[in-house]
Amino acid sequence: MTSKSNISKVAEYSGSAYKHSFVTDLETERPKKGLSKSTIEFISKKKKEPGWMLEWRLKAYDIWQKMEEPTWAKLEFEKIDYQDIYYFSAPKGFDEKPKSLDEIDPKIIETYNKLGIPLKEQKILAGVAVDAVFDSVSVATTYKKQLEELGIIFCSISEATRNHPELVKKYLGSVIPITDHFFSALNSAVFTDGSFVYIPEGVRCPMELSTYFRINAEETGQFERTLIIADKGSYVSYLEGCTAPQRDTNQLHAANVELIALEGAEIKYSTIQNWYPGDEHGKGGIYNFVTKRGLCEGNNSKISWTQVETGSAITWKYPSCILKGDNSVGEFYSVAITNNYQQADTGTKMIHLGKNTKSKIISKGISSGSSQNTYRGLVRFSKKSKNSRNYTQCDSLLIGNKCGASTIPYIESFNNSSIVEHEASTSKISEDQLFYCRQRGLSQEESVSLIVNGFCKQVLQKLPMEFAVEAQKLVGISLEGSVG
Amino acid sequence: MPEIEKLYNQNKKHLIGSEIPWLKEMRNNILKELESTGIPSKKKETWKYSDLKHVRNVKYVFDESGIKNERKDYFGDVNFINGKHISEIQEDHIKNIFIEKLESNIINFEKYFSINSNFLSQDFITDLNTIFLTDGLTLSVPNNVKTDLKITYSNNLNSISSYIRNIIKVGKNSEFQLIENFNKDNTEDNSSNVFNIFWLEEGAKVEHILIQNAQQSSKIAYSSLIFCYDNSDFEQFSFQCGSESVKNQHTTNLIGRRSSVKHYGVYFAKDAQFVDNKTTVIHHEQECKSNQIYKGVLSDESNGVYLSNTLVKPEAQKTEGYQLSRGMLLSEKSVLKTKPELKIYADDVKCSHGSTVGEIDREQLYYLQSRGINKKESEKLLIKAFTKDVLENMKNKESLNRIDEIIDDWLTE
Repeated sequence: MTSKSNISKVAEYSGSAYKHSFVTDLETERPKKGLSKSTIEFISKKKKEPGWMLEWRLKAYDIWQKMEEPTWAKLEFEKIDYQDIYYFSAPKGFDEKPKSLDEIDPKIIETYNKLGIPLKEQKILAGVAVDAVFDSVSVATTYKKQLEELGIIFCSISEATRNHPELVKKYLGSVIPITDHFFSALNSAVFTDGSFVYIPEGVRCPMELSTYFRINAEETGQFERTLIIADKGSYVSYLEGCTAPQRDTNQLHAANVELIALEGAEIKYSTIQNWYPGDEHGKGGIYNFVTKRGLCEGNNSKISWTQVETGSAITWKYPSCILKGDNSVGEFYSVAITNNYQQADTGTKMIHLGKNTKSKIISKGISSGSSQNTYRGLVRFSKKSKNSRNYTQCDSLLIGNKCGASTIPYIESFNNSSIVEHEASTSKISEDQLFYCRQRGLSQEESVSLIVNGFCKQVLQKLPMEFAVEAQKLVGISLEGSVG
Repeated sequence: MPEIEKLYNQNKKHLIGSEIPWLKEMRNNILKELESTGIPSKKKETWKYSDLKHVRNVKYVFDESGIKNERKDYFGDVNFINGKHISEIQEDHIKNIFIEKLESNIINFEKYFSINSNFLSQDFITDLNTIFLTDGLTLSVPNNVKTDLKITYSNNLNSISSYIRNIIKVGKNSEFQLIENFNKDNTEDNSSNVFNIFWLEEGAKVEHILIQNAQQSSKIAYSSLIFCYDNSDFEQFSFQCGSESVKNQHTTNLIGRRSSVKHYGVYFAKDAQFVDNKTTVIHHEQECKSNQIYKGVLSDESNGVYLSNTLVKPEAQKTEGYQLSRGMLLSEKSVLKTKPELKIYADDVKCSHGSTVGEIDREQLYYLQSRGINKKESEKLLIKAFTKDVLENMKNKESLNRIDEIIDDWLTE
């Protein structure tokens, strides 16, 4: 059980582990490399956007130009050349959206099948409405009709700008203003597609809504923008999964996700992020700079983030909750697994503004190989958030002696009637537990997998059924062979 | 920084070691560095939560007229008044400890000065200390002795700024108690910047007690840098109560095997006081243990900050590192910010931290009241109990009683 052999095993495994390393050979249509006003105009034109949207983008672009890339995260990477990226890529012939799945290029369908989300099958069996984003254009939106009957709007964001401008105008940028920071401004300027969800008052969305993002074209940044609005007393559970093919070069992904929960509404947002993490020498992989923020606008509202982060060369992601309404609840459940040369700097922000607000943070970090895994979080009780509570637990597990785990929690309490509790621990897999499992006839591998799954269980059980199986598999795959 | 540079140029001739080339060069380098980086602001991570009073209006006011030996209620073996050491010591040692003035000895201490640039990189507070040094001592405890020493810092004139550095070496297998006390004087607007460096040789045991109970309008910046060799053990108690603004930072380097450190802290603040503590433990070697426990009680509009840090280097296997921060807020306007950090690069470790902030436990209050103790008394009892489990680890009973009295005064005021 020497650590060297562990590391080599991990390396050996992970080289073959990325199942999704295929490139779909499609002709793509894209503007010149680089970011300029004309790129933004090109994107806007391609998306057939109204004038106000273009104006909004250009404003964001102006602001972005004056901003500096943040450097506070514990991440090391070569400087990104923002002029060396394609900002829009769509499979050719997508100007007219297909009406049914049959009209879609069979190659794309095949790609999804490899990823394990057979659209057709899901449509019939799983009861999941999938808004699949292939590069930048929403390929097909299933189950739209059934949802329409309930008044639920579930479409791509570009469609929403055309068909529901009043909602988009009102809420886009209301949680993440374009002036917020470097990556959110960049996204606001060049975002290409993403999902838009509106749940009307009192409606409980009968199925899990799901989007599968996928970066395909080489050297393309993916800038998706998701906006979810849950009107009074409504409920929605939203799933998001990400994969990308294997490439030598680094690709940029800067998404913005905004959630708005009005009075009594609940949004559950689950992510499985399995972007290409780079090879065993740290070459290639996705740079994942994501801004996710939810606003509990109304009283008694609730937003819950669940994430399983296994991919990306770099993860920079802090799904946050602004608990504005009284009695609102924010939750964050996270499993972050890093291997080889992956770097993850992830966590959450819980900003308590309303009275009697509650938040809960459970974060599990597992580092192996030469990776770096950081939890960075903020809990803030403002002056007005009387009688609020927070409970935070961040645990880290280290496998091998070349990796690192950091915990950087910021706790700010501006009033005395609120209680914050924070605990964290870092350790390796306990010899006792291993011994116990081995004694009962499990192999070393099975034991480790069992222990790690147990370590993550608190988070994994928060995932919807459809994801739980995939997540458990991913956890197993990411760490198989890493001990003993 | 033009103002600091101006101050430096004006007072060059008073400063300790102004003729020594390496110190001159060091000071010039710091000034050059400050010029390019500027003085710290809230934007700088290390100053994000700190009180910028320590940055603004940096002073160098030195007045020899006030330096005379006045006996105070609390008087040490070694006393600093207005930033200058008052020599009562005729011999070169007291209580088995060899004492020399830093001034007469400074030429031999280049390595101790460059230490802070290696271990506290670009730290504004210790950099100021290096530039404006007013005085300091070197203390050397020989091998295999058991001894103790009291140091007091006081200011008997208004608007004095003192910059003091002590270098303390504790020999093999010695036991040493060091008690440092910031006196409460009837003067105003004073600032102190004290920087102590501790070397603990093999098997040395040190109990360091720091009592900061200075007058209301004073500003204190205290830094300590500790190096622990094999099997040595450093235990520190830091106690704050009373000053307008305190900024403490303690950094321990566990460079020997099986060495251990405990940073204990208790702080009280009221009015608009600001108490800022930071502890850092760096595990360089195997089988070391560290513990950082701080508890604070904040009232009125006071501000508390506690940043704790544990860094475990890849070589430091079998490390145990714990942190605990607990805060009690007594008023609506008091604020506490904490950041318990763990950075771990070795796998065979047990590290954890816990942090809580809240008010007095209502159930406990109810329990006491239901047994006939009035609310005010119950609160006092609970506040004392809250800090007690930290303080009771203190071996020096005299200091413990003194701290007890200060807390009692604070609670009745």
